[in-house]
Amino acid sequence: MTVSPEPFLRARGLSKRYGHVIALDSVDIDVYEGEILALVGDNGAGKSTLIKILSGVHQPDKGDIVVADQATRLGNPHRARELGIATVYQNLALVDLRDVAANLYLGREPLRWRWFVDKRAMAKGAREIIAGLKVNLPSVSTLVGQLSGGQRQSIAIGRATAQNGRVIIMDEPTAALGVKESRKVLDLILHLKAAGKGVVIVSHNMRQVFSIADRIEVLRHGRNVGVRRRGETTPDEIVKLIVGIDSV
Amino acid sequence: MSNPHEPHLEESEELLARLSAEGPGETVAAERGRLHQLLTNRDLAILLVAVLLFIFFALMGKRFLTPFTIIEIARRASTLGILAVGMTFLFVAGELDLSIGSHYGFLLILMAYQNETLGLNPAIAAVVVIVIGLAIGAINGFIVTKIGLPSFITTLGMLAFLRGATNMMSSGYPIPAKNTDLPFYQIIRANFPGTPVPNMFVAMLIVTMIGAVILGRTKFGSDAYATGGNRTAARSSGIDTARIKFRCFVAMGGLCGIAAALLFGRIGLAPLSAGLNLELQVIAAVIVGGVGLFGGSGTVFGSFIGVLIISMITSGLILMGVSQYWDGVATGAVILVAVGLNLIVGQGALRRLAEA
Amino acid sequence: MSEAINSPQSRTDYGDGVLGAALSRGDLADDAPVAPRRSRLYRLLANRDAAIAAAGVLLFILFPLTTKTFLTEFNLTNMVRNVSLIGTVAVGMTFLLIVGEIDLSVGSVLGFLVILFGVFDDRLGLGPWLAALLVIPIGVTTGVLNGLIRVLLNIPSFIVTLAMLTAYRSLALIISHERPISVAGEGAFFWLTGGAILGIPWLIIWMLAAMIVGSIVLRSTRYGFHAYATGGNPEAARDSGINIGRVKMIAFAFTGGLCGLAATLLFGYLHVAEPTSGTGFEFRVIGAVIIGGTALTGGFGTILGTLIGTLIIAIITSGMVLLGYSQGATDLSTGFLIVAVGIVDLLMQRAAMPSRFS
Repeated sequence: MTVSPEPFLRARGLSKRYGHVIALDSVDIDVYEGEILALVGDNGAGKSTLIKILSGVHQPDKGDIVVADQATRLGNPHRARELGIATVYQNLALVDLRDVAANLYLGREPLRWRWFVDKRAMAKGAREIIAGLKVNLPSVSTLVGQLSGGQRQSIAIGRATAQNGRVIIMDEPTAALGVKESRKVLDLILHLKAAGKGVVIVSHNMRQVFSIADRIEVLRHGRNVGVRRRGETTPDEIVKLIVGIDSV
Repeated sequence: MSNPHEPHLEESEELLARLSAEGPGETVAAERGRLHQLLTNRDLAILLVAVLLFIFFALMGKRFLTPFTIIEIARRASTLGILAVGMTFLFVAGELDLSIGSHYGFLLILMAYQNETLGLNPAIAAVVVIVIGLAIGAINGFIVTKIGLPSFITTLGMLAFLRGATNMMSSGYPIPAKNTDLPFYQIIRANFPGTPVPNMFVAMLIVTMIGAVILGRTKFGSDAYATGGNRTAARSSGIDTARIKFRCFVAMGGLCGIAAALLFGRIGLAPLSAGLNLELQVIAAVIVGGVGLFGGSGTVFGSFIGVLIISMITSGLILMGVSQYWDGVATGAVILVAVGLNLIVGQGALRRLAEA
Repeated sequence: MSEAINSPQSRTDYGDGVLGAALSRGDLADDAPVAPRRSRLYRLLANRDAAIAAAGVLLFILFPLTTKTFLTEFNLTNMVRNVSLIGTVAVGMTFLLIVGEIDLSVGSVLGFLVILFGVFDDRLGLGPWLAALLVIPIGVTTGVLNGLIRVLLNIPSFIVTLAMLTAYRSLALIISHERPISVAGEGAFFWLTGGAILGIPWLIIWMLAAMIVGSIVLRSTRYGFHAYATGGNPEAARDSGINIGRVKMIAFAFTGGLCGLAATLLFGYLHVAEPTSGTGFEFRVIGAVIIGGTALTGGFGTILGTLIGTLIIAIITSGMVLLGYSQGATDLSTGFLIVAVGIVDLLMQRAAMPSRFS
């Protein structure tokens, strides 16, 4: 797998505090296209603050963000999306009572005659996205609320990728899934990597991290305490970095 | 839950606890004195508003300071005050009851009906009416807690239902009481011995104080605050939120009964449009009194002041020579202003909470 | 895939809570085929619509049997009037419930606007056409006002509209000095509103026009899609770039405008404006929309359902009056229906889509 030499997304010195609480303290992170980066750490380590900053939801107090060699400010989620950073949160942000096609095109429905939704184009596009994700669905007019957890996760990912995201950030993608479904989602993530996307997954699950991640970044107390290549480290070392026991 | 290795987390938890202390919560109550458990700073601010309002009306309307006016306000406040106690409990627990106006009107008609058609002694009729009030409150509570239909639709339907029932029972004209010499009427109409204060008002004060004590100093009260403030947290702490809410609904119904019985005793008949829009006035009073819409904050004392404020506004407007129909507009405007202010003030604290 | 995932420790403890329980039961396993579950919800919904429609037909058959006067021209035209006014405003209420809001003031707004109409037409002598041209935009304005307070101040819509309910009722009484305003009622305007064409009352035509427009907007326009999303999952909608404040404002404004239309039609039909018009109207409108299948929780509903619900409410209303019950009985039954249908819908949704309820 060719990983591009320059990171698509590079952040340096990100800091954020809420009152007395230091959420992030001078954190660096690089995201390369065609690579899977796992972001790990204990509760309160700052993972969700970091990804919220990278997806434009929060603003850092200090630090620089460079996207595609251009220094930018990710002022809001739309800006981040425009630049190619798509985020899939744990709550998936799906509308259960609407069908798959409507969810995939949420907010960017194809139009005909200015105000009318081009439902045929939408259905066709939806079928293509689903096929590309290699997800098994009987019909794109199924209501999302009736899909299984893994299928819903795939729809959320599909929506993120369909927006030409070059980097996909995922917050605990398999947290609520059983073993079989997790495997399907992990397969999907590998598929994304093969398609040249950069993937950041926040995860607690060491097994999964070590099964698909290329690099692992550990946060503790809001600080970046280590970045390792998967082949050059062990779960033990990572856990020690997370918890803060100095390696023997 | 908090890791000794993570001092930052503990600090933020303290911050959270301080920010979320609106009414007497568990952590904060321990620090406050006994009087403080019944009052908060916000209550004092509202008291100030009430005093200012009183001065305003006294200056504007020459007839405002007459004993007649004061008695008028007291009478209006009595009914509102009793109902407001129940509504305060419901709001604090995170629910509401839109049906109290027609609930109250229905029970009033029931009083008259028992008295006139069934010939019952009014004291017995009062007990019956209170029991039925409790029962209707229980139905509301059951639908909301056991079945899970949101309270505003449940009570909206109940509002229509009871209004229809009241309509069907009344024959189009007010039903007078039979024999107003009975002690029931005499006691209610009298003043508290040795004072010019009407007994009805005293009754309201007693109900208010009992409510304040229950809400501010008992476990039920603090459980209610927890239920409204953060339902999931309350449940994981072992609080039976469904039972708390159910009891609040039942109490509300009982209070409607008490208010209806008292009014019937006072004026000796069931007026035609009793209770119309009463729910709005009660909600206005409670919100003005600082009880938050979303639960977990406010005190009975605050609602009491709110009741006084609303009563003053309503009576004051009439005395200023404004047509009585403007009070609908005024009440509506007061609600919007009060809720808006509440939310804007609360917004600041909430945002800090969210980012912590 | 590395062996780690296939390791023997695959019997995971999914923990407590609804999600955990569902996982342990295997509900979320991807073995569970989707097709049967789809038809399960589909069947439930289709059943519900069929059941409601059947109930409507049943009522329509039963009532004439119990009262001789049900099928008279007088009663049928009365029902027509009920249906069309409720139905017209119910289109807007459907939009509002779909986006997750509600308007409790439509009855008072109707009363207020019809009084205004009388004032414009008769007291100020502007004539009915100009009056209509004024009243409908004023209706839109009342809706916009509701929407602004809801969106900008973030006050829940039922509180806002509850406050407005008393305010507009007061205003109607004040402006009219508690007296009705009546006019002769001749001319093209009154034919176009209260008359009939080819035997069909114009009232029905207006209502159907509103319904057709509403239905097309909901099903086929971008606004409709955004409205369903806003009600179904507001955060998801917002994250997708949908301006949920604007979506809600439009729903409020639309409802206000429909109240204006209804006021115009009411005046055109009755030739009189009473300050107490519209009392209890909001219950019938909300009842019609709920019976028609629109969910209280938002994100779901159709105009066709609202039409059926409107018919049922109208049948019940007229039927009760004919059976000798006073106005109160309609309120009573409407209130009962609101709660009963609400409960049934809640239980059905819970059965079909457990993931939505925690």
